[in-house]
Amino acid sequence: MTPHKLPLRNLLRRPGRTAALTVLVVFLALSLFAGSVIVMSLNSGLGSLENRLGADLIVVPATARGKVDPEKIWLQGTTGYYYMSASKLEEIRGMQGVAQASAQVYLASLRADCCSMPIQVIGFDPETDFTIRPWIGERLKADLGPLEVVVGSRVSAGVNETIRIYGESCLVIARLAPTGTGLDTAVYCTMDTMAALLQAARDLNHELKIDGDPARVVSAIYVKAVPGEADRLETAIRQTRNPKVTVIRARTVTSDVERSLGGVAHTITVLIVCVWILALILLTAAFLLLGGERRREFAALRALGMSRGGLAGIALKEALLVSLFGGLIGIGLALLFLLPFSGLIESALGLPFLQPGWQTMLILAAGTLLAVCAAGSMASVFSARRLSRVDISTIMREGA
Amino acid sequence: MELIASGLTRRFLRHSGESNAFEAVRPADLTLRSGEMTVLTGRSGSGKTTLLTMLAGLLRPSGGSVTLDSRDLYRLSDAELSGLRAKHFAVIPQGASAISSLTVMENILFPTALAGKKPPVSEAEALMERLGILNLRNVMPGELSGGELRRMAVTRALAGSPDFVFADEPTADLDDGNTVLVLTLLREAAQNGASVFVVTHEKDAAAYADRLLHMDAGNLTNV
Repeated sequence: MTPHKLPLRNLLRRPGRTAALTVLVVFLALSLFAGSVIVMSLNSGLGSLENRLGADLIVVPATARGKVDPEKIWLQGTTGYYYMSASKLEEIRGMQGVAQASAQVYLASLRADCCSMPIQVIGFDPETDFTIRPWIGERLKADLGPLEVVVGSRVSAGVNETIRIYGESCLVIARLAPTGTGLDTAVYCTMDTMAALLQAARDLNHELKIDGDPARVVSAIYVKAVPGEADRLETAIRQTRNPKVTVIRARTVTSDVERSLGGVAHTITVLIVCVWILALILLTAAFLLLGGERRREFAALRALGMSRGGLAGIALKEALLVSLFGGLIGIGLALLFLLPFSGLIESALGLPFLQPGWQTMLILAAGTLLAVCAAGSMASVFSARRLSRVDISTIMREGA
Repeated sequence: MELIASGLTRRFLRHSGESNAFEAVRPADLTLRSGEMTVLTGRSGSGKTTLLTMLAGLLRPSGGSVTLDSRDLYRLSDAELSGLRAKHFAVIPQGASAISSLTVMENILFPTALAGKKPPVSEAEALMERLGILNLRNVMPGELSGGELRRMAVTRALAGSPDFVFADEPTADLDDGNTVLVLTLLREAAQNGASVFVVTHEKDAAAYADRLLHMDAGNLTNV
């Protein structure tokens, strides 16, 4: 038995006291780690949404809002569809101030015999697309062939499996990196595949409200404006007719999200600060109260030849061990809550939610451990100081 | 080795009563030598424990000095003094002094571990055997009686063969047989070269002493 093992022995010998102190540290670690991960996930989700929208203007048919808000498709994974003539794409491409324009076609599959699952299917043009291709390119180097699809990270179909959409079997050839947005629940294919799927849906008497050739419709047109031209271009596009369109500023979508995110982040920060203040006060009081009960024992150690520094070291090491242990439990509990329920958190908040990778999680966990160890040590400083100056007469006189 | 106390005094302040300050120990001169057992007697409150505590390096005197091999204990830093105490001194306090998270054997060996010495396991076992507590070696202090705790404290003080043993009422809580045994062990420690300083009310202790001192109202006298 060496003196440096004494702090651990003291903690193990008094499980009730150790557990009470540990619980307080668990609250510190849980609130800090979970709060940080949630705020970071929201920020990552916002960044990811900005990348995925990737355009200055998104043009949808004026009738779209009456069916499903396009923002809900992008943010919350709601399924929906609406169409306008593909000639609108050519019209917009010809407008002054347009740097790039590319169309997407939406189709919602059903929970029915014809389909494996209800999902949003998004068709894009690999030749002109500038939002989906960079994302797919992270996972798939080859081109998409007929009836081949890539799936979002939250679609329950693996690579080389097939999913049935309106009776057509589509081969999954890649799974995309998560974005934390509604786009993770969608399936992506080329315009040719989409045309085939639209035709199949029609053949099954699914009401799509498409006049004419399904290969000649689009649902949304993504427009990148020449720098400084976005405002003028937005006005110009709004004034076009046949059909009338709604122009959505991508920045408006992200600003709305950013505003909501700011509110949530502020609330979480306030909660973390409140929990920390309360827990630190309780922890300091607990160390002081429990230290008071141990004056006799510390006086005995002093009588046996231990220095004041040695006594303070024991008190601080005990606090450090409790902090380390409580910190690990707190982080573990936070992970148990965050990892399986990130989808629930996302839908409860209604905001993009992209959890950081394991490297970032490790760094956050290490930071949280450092913070709780520092807090635990600080909370025990007063107690350690008092115990290191314990009056030796406590044990030199019987019954003192 | 010699521990020399010169003009040692200790004044305390009381927060109530007619006189605020009182002298627990009036100027005292004393030398503790190796191989000698000194017994100090006196009425309760006469300043015996205060004198012992100052000699053991645990209470800073109001005046005077305590020197060990020309080193004034109270001019040393806390770390130096603590190191010196751990290396050369052993204290048997009057009150309970067990470390509750350690077993009896671990308690006994703890001071030597603190001093960085080799644990004197066989010496400790021999002393425990003589004091009748060997069977308690793995028991926690909370399960011991007052007499067993006292015998544990005696074993702890003597096991590391310290140069100086300061024992404050070492036979309190003990029956006659164990009282004789503890005094005999302290006497043997002195014969083996230690300087033993015992504060006691035990009348029979005088028979074991090389030198008998008495204290009355803070004044130290040779008997």
